[in-house]
Amino acid sequence: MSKETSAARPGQRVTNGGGAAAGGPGKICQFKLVLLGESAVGKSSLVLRFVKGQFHEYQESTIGAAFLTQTVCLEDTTVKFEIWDTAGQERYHSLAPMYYRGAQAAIVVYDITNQDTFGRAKTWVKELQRQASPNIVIALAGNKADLANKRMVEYEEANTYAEENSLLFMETSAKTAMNVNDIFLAIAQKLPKNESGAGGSGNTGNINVGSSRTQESSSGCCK
Amino acid sequence: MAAATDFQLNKTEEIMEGFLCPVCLQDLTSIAQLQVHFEEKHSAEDKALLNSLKSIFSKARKLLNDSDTEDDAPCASKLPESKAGGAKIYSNIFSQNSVPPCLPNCNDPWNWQNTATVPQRSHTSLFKTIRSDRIDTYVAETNKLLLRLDKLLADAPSDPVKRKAQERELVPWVDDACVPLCPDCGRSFSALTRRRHHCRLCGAIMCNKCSIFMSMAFAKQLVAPVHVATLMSGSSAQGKSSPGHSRGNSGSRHVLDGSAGFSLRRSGSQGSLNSIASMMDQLTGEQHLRVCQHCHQRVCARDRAVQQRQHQPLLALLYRKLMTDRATLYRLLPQYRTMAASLWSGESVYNLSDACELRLKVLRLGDSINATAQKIKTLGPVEVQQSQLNDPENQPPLGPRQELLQKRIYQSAAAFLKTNVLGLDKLPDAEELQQLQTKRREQAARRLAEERKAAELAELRAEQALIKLRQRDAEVITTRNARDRSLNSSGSSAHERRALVHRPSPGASVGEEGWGGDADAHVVTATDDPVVQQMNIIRNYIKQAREACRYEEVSTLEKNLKELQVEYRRLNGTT
Repeated sequence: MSKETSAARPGQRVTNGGGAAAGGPGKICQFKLVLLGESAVGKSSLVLRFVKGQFHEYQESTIGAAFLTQTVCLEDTTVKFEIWDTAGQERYHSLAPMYYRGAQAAIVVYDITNQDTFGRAKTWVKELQRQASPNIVIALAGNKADLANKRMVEYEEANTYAEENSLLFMETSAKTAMNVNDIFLAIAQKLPKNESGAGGSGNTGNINVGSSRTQESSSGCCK
Repeated sequence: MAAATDFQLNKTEEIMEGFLCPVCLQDLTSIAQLQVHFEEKHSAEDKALLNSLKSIFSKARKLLNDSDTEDDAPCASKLPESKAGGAKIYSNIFSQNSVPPCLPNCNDPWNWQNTATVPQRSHTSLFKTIRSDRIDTYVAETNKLLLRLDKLLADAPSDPVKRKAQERELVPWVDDACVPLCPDCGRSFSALTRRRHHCRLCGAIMCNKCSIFMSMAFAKQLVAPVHVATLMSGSSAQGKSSPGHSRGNSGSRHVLDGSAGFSLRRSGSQGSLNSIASMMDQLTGEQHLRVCQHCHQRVCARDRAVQQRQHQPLLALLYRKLMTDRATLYRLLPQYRTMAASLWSGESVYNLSDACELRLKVLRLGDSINATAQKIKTLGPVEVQQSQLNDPENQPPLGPRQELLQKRIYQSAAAFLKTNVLGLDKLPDAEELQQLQTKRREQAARRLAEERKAAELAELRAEQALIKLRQRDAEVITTRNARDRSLNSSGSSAHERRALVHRPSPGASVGEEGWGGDADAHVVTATDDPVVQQMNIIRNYIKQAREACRYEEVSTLEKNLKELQVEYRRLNGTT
């Protein structure tokens, strides 16, 4: 646990700089992103690679959920990810809904060397489609792509599945950093960057809904 | 006296005397006339200057008069001025004595010194070649000593006899027979009272008194890896001085200044005679390394040089502290401002206590910056002298530039504080905050009510429109044309759609509440409850985030904690 918490700090540092810099020109959007998947598929490694650029061969298994932040700069906007890295172990499954609820994006991770994890990923996707917010951006990540010689899940298979369910799909490797930043960037680009998207983190959820409604109703009145 | 020689002057052409006008050389018989003449004809000239020059002119002019026509002929011909102008030229020469007298090109008409004939000789290059030779020698010598020391220390056998053999193998020892007298104190050796000892670094022979035991710790400190480690730990910011660098040429170059004399003397220290393994050596050999004074001083000088390079002036240290404080403050300020603004607007995103804490932190940082800046400002010669005492070599004296620098640093820090910390926004106290929050809540509620009313109104209108439509439909039975109908129906459906959008929004979270299903199944016991565990994790995160002043994240995490608490209560309620 201490490892995860210490991991959270550098991410915060990055965000800090980004937040301060982006005060002027571009707008800042904040998104809640959740990582789901079977245990030991590399969720924490993926996040660690993305946030800190690190990789630990023997990553301890996550307890509960870890929280990290990272900022991504697109052309005109700064996207701040609040990343909830959930534990993959079955006993923590009960916590997952709390983290994907209200999340604007989710990465469902499986291990390309393990067919079962792909099956589990499919159930996660199903659960997200049923129970997460309807416009959630879901990405499917086939992790451990560096172990291609032990591959059990074919790229084509996963890709067709992703296309059928309109998911973002990439094969990633936290170890070699392959596609790690790319998948987060792809998510950042796909996320809606309007007001409601930014406010969706929910601090002022009520107020936001209200204000957007005022606009609508007033327009209704005028027309 | 002057009056007596009045009329002889015209005849004597070579020497002119009398009341001569300094400019046109006219003889004007009396002082009064000369003055009148001068004021009339040469009043344009710089009187004060000419007056001051009057006394020398009478003499100088005479000398110049001759040379004017001969030596300086080219100069004079270059100048378009008349004789009257000539006076101006000379006056200018006197006044412009600040002009550098020896320009390489003597075409300059102002340059009346005969510079061309003075040969210029530069010794700089000669000096440089000699100096670089010397430096190279000392650098090489010192490095040789250090390399030997490194080898001596690297895999020294613990057995004194073997060790001695290794030492002799590494450093060729001077044959005892060659050294009849101690080269340092000049006394003769004897087998019992004054034995011969060898320097372990250069192999030279000296007596016991003239040798020095270098402690192993010091020796180890001198050779690279450990030395670098202490260097790194000594000042973390000194990262630039890589190990290679500190051991390299420039490192040893300083040594030269200190040890120049010794190495010269040492060249004469080739002596004679033989030695037997002494008990003394064996006894102390484990703790110490016997070296001659020269080698010792040389390595010491190098050590000093390295340490000196590590040493940082107090001013630099203080300045670094100031800048780090400033950077943190700069990082914290925007956060504080957003927090304060949020609190003043009555939002409940941030905690008041958090904000207070942050404010305190900011103020404390400001204090620290102020204190550091004051210290820098008053960092007078006293401290500098103190550091000079510690470090007697080449501390530059406190000059006006440093004073200026210190003053500037202080001013900039003061300006920074003035703009950033003095005008720090106040925070509302608890009561005010409550008022603000209730006010905001009321406003929000009012707005919500208004919106709801508006929505209802819109719905009502939509219904009315529908009713109207139907009525109209009823009224207009078959004669209506197709375009009209399509227009109206599209308008009404838009209304309906809007109404649909509005309806669920008051309870927006309802739609997302569907996560009950399998939550209970995995809760084993209360102590092993993942929710409890996660709550603890989140609490820990909150603590850390608060320590790191990431209040935005604190709020996110606190929200999550609340969710978890709700969830926990719900679970406990149901089971």
